[in-house]
Amino acid sequence: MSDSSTIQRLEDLEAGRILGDLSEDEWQELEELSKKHHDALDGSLEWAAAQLEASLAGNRAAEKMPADLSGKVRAGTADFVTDSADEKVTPISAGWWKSAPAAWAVAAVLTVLLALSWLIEPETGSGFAGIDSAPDRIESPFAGVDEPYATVSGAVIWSDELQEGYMRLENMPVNDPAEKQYQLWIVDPSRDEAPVDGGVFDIAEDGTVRIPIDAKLRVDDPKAFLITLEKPGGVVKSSQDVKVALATPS
Amino acid sequence: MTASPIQFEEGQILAGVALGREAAMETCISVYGGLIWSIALRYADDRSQAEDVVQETFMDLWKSAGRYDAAVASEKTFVGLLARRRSIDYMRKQRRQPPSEPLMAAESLPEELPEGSGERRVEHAAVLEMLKELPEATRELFTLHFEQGLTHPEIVERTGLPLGTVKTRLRRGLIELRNRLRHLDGPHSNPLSAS
Repeated sequence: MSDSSTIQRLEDLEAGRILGDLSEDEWQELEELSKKHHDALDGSLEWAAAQLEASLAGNRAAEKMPADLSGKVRAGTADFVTDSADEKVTPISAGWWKSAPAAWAVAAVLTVLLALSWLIEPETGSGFAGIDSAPDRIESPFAGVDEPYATVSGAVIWSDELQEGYMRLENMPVNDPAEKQYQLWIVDPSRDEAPVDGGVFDIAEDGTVRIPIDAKLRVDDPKAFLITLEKPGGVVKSSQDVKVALATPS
Repeated sequence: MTASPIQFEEGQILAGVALGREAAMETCISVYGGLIWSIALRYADDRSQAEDVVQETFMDLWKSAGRYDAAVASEKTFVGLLARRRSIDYMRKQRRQPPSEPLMAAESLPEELPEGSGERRVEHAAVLEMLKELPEATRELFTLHFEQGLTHPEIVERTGLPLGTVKTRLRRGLIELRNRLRHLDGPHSNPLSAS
């Protein structure tokens, strides 16, 4: 069998594995072939099936789990629950920031910083237990910058040691992800003049939200956390046309 | 854990789960329980096995929710992928001929975008559009299998097609769809290669 036909056969078997229709002979054949050609299977067929499932599942009425099974699943959460607060948590995903040799952020952020004289007192957080109990934990208040974000408040909580943190935000206007998304920038002059992309996020509804920070580069001495409003997906370099909120750890 | 009203929306649930939020886990069970259950039923021989698969899948989900990246996939896609993987592994073990190691390790779950890949997340509407380009016979089988949740024997019963034909068409259809998704994402990109 040529390499080409071998790979085709391997893909055929992998598709069968994902679809759940392999015979025992085919299972053995798949295992043997996948050992010889381990680079040939990249998970893309499994991925395609998941995409298909998710897309078509929207067309059918949701099937419910049996109630007793739901109860068993709930019972299994005990070891994983770290708190039972009911604040919303918004996911954050990294934008496409890699590295830009620009000094735009420091200059612009410092300009904004000087203009601010009404920073709001921070509040005590709960949850995010690891960060909150970190010895080097810092907390700095967020203050709204441009209109209509002047009433935005909250705080940023960060640990250099853990390289983790989160934002607690209040009065953040709901955004339409198809139109605009919020993006966090972390200014750390000790590492680079350019800010670190802290991720793109959405505000889905009014109220207090907690947003985990997902800094893709190491941050050792953050001097400012700035939220901007950007196009969907975020930007590599912000023009800071809309500055939403700023926190400046001392 | 007591039941609580849904406070997390799709796209936010797994982030909450990763942080150990009780309300997020409750919402996860409510929103994705049906999807996981239906996938498990498709692979399992009976409901008892399907219940085991569901519990294993949720345990996996509580542990690996932090690996979810909204830029890579929708939550539904991520959860479905996890459920299918657990179902296959479980059934393989049940048949007492487990492979020496899983063919796809848990660590290979989608995590990050590779540099220069651009957007990888494919919207469901785009997938549905792509399906229209596939042969009618393939689309029909996809509908029966992925949308209606029929097993292969049930598809045979419904369509009158030989089992071999059903298997071949579904396999080829999945490979064809994968090829088209790759084309959509760029000819050389690989959705899971970043893991």
